[in-house]
Amino acid sequence: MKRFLNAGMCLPMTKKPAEINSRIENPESWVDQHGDFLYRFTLSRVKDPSIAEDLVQETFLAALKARKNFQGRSTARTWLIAILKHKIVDQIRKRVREQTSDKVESMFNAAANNPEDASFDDEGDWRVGPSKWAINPMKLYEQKEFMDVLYHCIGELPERQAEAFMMREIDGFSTEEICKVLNVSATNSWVMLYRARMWLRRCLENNWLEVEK
Amino acid sequence: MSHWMFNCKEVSMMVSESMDRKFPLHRRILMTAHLFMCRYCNRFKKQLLILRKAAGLEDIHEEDFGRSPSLSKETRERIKQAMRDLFPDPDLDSLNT
Repeated sequence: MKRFLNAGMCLPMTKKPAEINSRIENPESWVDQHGDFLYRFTLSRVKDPSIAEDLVQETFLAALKARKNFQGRSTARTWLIAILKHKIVDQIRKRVREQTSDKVESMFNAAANNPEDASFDDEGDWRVGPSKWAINPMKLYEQKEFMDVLYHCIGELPERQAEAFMMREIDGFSTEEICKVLNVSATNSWVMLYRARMWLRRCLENNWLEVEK
Repeated sequence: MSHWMFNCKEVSMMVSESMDRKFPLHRRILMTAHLFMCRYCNRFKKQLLILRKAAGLEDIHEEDFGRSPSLSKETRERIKQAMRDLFPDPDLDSLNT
């Protein structure tokens, strides 16, 4: 929960404080201003409308609890979307855990906790080199299947790795801030981020078809 | 692809770490030299940058806008009510105590 309290705090200042205050003084107006956008964003990742509604509600409630920590370093929408992404990944993780036996899950965690062993031989060379991804980085929002698989893969990560990755890449936290929240050393945080990224790229290559071998 | 001082495994770690902190110049030069020579590590770096961009994405595919309905009036009201239940006094100061 602590991560939600800080979500979005580290993003660059884009608006004047007065503009920010006018937007956060009436939290109920968030629902009218951003509710549909958040709902559509959720539906693009979670297919069940009732689950999507619940996630949007949880997002507004988490934002309300953390409102005093919103320092206006990002727009309200960016802040809400960051909270929502955490909620979506939590929901996907819950679903993955429900569908996976304990034995498979422990094998899964072992692989995700040490993805470099499967990727490199004893000499440190790639066992199978990364494939060329047939994707335009400038049009990622059009790559629906890629984004679906990405969220699914984040949901499969061990929880702390997923948290580290999301804090860094979604919330824009520095590694110093990640170290404080997760109570790990700087070196540990870099290793966690490395393993999360290694796992995600492998997971994407295994589950997303648009690669050139 | 073990040319230069670092092998691919080491360079992959450096590529990831370089996204989170600044390296000394000599390490950056050695990493860049390896990336110049090694297409797999170069692809790896591009993939990590795509992951970063994708994770930060806030846009929605146009199709999703067309397909997905808006929140119903009842749902909006339910969410607002839940917010009122959480903090009956919506005044900002009440949250700071």
